[in-house]
Amino acid sequence: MKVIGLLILSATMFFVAPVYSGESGGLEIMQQVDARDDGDDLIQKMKQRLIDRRGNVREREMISFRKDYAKDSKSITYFLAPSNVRDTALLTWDYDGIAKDDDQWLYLPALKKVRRISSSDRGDYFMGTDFTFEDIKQTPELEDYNWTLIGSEVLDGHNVWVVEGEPKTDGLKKNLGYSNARYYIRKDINMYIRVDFWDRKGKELKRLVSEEIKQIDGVWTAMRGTMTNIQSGHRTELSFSEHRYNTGLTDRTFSERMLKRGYRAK
Amino acid sequence: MRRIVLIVAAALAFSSSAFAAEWTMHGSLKNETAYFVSGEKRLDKLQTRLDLKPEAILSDRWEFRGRLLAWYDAAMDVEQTNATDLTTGIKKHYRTYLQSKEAYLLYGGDAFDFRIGQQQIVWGKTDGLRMLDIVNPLDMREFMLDDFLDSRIGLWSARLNWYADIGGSEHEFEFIVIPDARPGEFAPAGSRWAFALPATPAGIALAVQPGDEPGWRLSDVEAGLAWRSNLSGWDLSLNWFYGWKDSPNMQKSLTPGLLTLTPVYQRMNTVGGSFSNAFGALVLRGEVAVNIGEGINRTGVTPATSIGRETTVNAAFGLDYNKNNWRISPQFFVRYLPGWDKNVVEDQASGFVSLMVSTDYMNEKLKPEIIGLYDWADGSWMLRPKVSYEFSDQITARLGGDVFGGVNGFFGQFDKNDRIYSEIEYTF
Repeated sequence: MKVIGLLILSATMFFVAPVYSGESGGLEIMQQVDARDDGDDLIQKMKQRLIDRRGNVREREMISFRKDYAKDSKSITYFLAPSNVRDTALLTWDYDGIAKDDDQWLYLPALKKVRRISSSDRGDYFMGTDFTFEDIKQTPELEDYNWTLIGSEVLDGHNVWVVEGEPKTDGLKKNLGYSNARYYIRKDINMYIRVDFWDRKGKELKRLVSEEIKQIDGVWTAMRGTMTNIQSGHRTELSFSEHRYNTGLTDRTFSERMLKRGYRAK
Repeated sequence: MRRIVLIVAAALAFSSSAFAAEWTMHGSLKNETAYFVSGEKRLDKLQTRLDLKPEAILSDRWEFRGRLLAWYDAAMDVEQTNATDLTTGIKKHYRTYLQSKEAYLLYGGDAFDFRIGQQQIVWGKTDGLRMLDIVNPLDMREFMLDDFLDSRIGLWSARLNWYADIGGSEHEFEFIVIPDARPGEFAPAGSRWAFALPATPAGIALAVQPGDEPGWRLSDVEAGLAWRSNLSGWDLSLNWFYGWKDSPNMQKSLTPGLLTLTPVYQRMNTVGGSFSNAFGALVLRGEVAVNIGEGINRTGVTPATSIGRETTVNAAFGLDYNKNNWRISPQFFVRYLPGWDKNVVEDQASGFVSLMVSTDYMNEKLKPEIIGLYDWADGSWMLRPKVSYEFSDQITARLGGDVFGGVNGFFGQFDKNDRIYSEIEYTF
């Protein structure tokens, strides 16, 4: 539950990219991905489909607001549907780097309370999706990985770098739930369009694919993304709509007040 | 009812104005079935619940939000009437329910929100037991087993929340006025969820007289103030409430062969505050509520010696630990009477500990949870295991139990009320 907002925020950030090209090492490439221009703020709607191996589908609809504060950002996400999660809302103050954990607050309509929640367990899955906290970061915390450029190839008609990130310590591997992750990054827009993950035992675990990438207000944006858990057969499909970049969102949008008031389309 | 009509009429008046209001209706239909498995085994409830949440966007600034809860409990017709815990009166009390829980207009300004109408106002950071969450009284027809959202009694009130940027941080100031002063509601005497009355000596009969409840009178108005902010990573609040204690104290009068109890409702001031912050995988939270002049029960048997007033200090501290989709939340509650003497009925120090453990499987379709509460002053306890399964976005089923233990005491008095229950809910 607690991270759906982060999912939306970060998926947005994750699926946007600046224009850049040039041969570099693994870390440099990931830094370029991290440094992309994704607009100063963003409003967007998101639909999430959770599909189990039998084909049973659960759907959720959300709207999210995000604003950058230099390298930090704030976001707030409201659940719009289905009714049993309606008015649940998540506020995140996302700090750059690993020195400080993000701050997160969750509004639970069943309790009518705002709860402070922990954001430190980056390997936790959230809201029944196939994304972990770590997956939904704009980019992983770069300093936690050893990055290696392992080559270039053509993927879906695009030239991509293939960069592997291995968590630096066993403790990090345990916390993140991964032993390795391989990023396929489009050279023309510095945006990763596929990520493969391996679990702590070295078995292939998940695959993230982003699709329908286009420019909105000058920002490269993926309109759809799918994370598939290869081991369980469960997958999470995300689709985005109604993007509005750089509308000048106020600081008060990202407050406990708005969590409690909830979102109503006007 | 007249007040609800007024609020809805105001909302409808907006609707018919130049702004095209948009009305929506969400809610749920639920069956709750519970069966007593200790004491006299029988159905506790066979309820069909309808929960409606009408809302309207009336203009750029104004909204209407409401909630209506109704049910029919077929157990009151299935089970045999008796002369003890299922009398005709008790059955009537439990058979049907229809109450507005909320019906208010919300004005969202740039730097303030204003709400007027019937509201639930929730303070504090703790779960399961209330210390600072004292604004709305509870309907305890089912002890404390119902969700607070359902058992809280909505009060007609005006609330202004003003937000100011001071020193780079947002500060919230809340002002509350409640003309609708009301005490809590309790299970009818003799029913299985009724609180135990004081024991009487052999040969003494017990009579309970009606008390003078607070109501819609100028002299009974309640008021509150709160401040909230996030400072250096800490979520902080300071609170003050001038209101009525939800539960009455029992004034005694002993005449030969008869002990008469008269509920006495008393005002009190509550000052307190709350805090929370996250440290890695831990969230630390807590609250303190000092009740000044809280009504208490004393051991005397005359009107003058059977009740009194004391300052009570109530505090709670909790931790939330999250790891690998497991959530573990212990809490510690303490109540202390600095001016206690041996004629006060309760202990000088009392309180509870609680523990909640939950996790989820199958991408959060299956969610087991267990909550335990232990009264460390009287040794009684309550255990509440539950498992829920989400069949679809609309349909959720739950199975659970409520188990009580101890000899008398807060939970032990319901030792014969262990029950298992099922719920199936359709939300729309």
